Amino acid sequence: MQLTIDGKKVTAKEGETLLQVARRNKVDIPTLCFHESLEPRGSCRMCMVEISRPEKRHDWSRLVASCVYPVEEGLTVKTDTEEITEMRKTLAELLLARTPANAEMISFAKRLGVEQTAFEIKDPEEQCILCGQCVRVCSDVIGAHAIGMYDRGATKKVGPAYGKGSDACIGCGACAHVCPTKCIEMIDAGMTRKIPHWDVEFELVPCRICGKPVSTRQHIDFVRRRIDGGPEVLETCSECLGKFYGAKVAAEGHM
Amino acid sequence: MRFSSAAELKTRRDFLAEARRGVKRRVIICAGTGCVAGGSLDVHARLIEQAREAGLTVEIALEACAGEHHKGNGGPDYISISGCHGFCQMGPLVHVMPDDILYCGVKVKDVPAIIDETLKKGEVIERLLYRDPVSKERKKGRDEITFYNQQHRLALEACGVIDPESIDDYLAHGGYQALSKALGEMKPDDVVDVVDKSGLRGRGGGGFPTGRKWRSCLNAPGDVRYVICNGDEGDPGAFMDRSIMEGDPFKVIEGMTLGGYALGSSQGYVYVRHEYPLAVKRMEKAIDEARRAGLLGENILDSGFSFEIKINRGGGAFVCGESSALMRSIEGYIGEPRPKYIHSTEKGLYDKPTVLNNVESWVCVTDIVKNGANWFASTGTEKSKGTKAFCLVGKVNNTGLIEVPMGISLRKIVEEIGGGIIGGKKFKAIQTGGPSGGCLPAEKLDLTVDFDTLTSAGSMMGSGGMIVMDERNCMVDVAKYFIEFLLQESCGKCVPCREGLQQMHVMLDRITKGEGREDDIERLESLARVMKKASLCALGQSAANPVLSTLRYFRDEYQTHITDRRCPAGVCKELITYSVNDNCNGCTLCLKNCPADAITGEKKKMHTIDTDKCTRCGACEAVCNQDAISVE
Repeated sequence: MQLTIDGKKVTAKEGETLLQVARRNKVDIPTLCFHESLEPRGSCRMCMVEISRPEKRHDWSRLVASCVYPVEEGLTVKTDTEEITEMRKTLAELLLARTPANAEMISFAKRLGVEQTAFEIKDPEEQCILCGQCVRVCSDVIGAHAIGMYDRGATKKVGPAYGKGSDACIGCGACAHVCPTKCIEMIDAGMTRKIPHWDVEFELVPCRICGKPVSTRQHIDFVRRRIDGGPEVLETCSECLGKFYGAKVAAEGHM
Repeated sequence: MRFSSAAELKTRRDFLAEARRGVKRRVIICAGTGCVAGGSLDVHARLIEQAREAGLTVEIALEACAGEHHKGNGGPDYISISGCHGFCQMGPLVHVMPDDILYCGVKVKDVPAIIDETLKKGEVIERLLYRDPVSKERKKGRDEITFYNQQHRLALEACGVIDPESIDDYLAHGGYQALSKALGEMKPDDVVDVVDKSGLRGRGGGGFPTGRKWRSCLNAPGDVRYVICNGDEGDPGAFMDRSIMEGDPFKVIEGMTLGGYALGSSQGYVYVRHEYPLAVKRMEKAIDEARRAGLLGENILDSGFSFEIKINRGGGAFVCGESSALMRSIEGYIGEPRPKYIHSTEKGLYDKPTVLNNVESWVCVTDIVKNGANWFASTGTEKSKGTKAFCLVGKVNNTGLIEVPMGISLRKIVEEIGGGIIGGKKFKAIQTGGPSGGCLPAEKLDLTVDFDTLTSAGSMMGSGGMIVMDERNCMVDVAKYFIEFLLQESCGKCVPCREGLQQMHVMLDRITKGEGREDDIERLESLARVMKKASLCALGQSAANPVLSTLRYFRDEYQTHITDRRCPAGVCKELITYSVNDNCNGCTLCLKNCPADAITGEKKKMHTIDTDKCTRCGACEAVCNQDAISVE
């Protein structure tokens, strides 16, 4: 189907979202809670765009979250009207008041032209913007369901059940990897991994070839339950795997 | 008794209606949550016990009122409980029919008098009658009391009349006629049609045309469909849906069953707040009874149509009244709304086409199918048909549950049904639509109550909360109260609602403390605009309404707080001073009641308040009967 984004005619497939189509066409729309590997949540509201149908209803337009809005034939989309720019600035200011010291948020806000926030800062230490990416990756992609959102409104938090280190966590670190404010720290020291944010600590399994840490025992076992892989694969670090299989492929012509 | 055909049901209904006609006096004791708290169940038990001891023929089940043995003695007295009568402020209430005598504030000690004078001699006990606050006259029954006689009860028609725990009472009152009619004479599509033509709009607040919602669900592909009854009423001061579930649960169930038939659904859910234990109990009981009667479950009245209803209890989150959050909650997830770009009529509960209506809408459906679309549409305005239930609370003389025709003026509700402002004070504002609604000033009192008028005036119909305020309510404080409520109840999913409400609260809080900044009003407005446009669900989109509507009509009051550091209504503690004026006759009442020992003075001499010690609790003003405490 055909639609217009910022004056440009673009084509899209049924079931795509406005954000997907815009990004494919190099239209920049800021996002914080969106990750291409996750179901969109539509909660940061940074990706709001204006939709209209000028040829059908000349006085109608509406602001929608592009990450969850499905494409429709003939839609006209504007991604950077003055209203949208101002709205994004206000949202950035609100988030900056939430996480005033977070480097990622500071530079995100700067890109939108926001240098500082006029709103009141509640907790100068806060680093999390509650985008929910960590929760979604943990439950929907990894399948560990170790963390979730709890409480609501101003006191909403993200974490393991009861805020205590949970057996469900396998220490895979996917949460830390997707976090847009980089506020989930994963510390590997020697053969120990800590994720203080979730109050968990793990022993790391050494690579069978080089002895460098691969991942946590829980992570390896978790993966083993899902795929058919012996320790020769799962307990070998990625570097050695590359070398080993590289050599094997070179010698035998196949894996 | 299980009914396997419409004919069997009719036979039973006729028998019960005959039994009802044979009753000499019907004594109805209100057993809504308010009256129960006031001890009405004790009154009920004692009345039955003592009336029997006094030799009266008393029946407590409608069925038992029939029969030859009652002939010739004028019939039995039928004593039963009922749901909410609406006039909660005057409870516990006892209504005697057919005499139409309404006794207010009835205690167990009044029971012997009711038996001796009213049940035995047919006389009225003056002291238990309602006293009009303005004329000071005693009024005998509903017909004489303006709180009642200006109402138009359709949805609440049987609420406060029938025994909600008896399916017999419901049947005798015409219950299940709608379902018999639909299953016997109408195709599912005819039911959708009649609802559509009636012009019914959703009673939960949004006012979306119910017929159109049903039609869009019908058109959505899929074999499995769900119907949901939203009983998660959470607005402060609102209890319409609770009263209906407590007072006429079968009518809700019948409405949902009709919905199930119309939409081809075999499963319904009632989502009720856990804080409504009595509503849950009565709904559960009614579902069980309906199932035993074959009016719920497999092959209802031998029509081939099967329908079940399950009750889900909410965990007390206001946001779960939002339809998509409610569905998530039923599914077992956190009650967070989802973006509704795909309507729940297409992908709702468990991603299946779903129709969700609130309690009041479902009972309207029962009436509409029973009496026809024209009957319903003959009441109300062009675009808002029928009636609407409201909970009238606040500074009016008569508070309680009311039902009025759409198109009635706010003035009529406040001045006639509400009996005017308490203590002859000046009306200041009426808050409608719950926390997401707005406050309308005296100039707007002649507006009519309908979906579109209230919205265009900056408020909304909402589910039916109506809070009346007088000159001693500070509108900044009111706005702060609602923002605080929403702040606690926001699910916290989207940024504008979660963070915006926190910042709004910060600004309002400092204004009420005399620390407001000159640009606060402007900043409140620009933040409100963003919240309105950018929030994910209706809760967030309307969360700024309390601020916007008070700014629209009471801007001066904000300005006075900020510029003059003064609260004209005398509410914001940091900005007011209590003092004793010349009216003081030295009665020492205030002195004795001051918890801070801030008042000094001798008997029969004017007292003084030490403003340094005064905590501005207002106790002195509350106890003074000489109007001698000034607040500035």
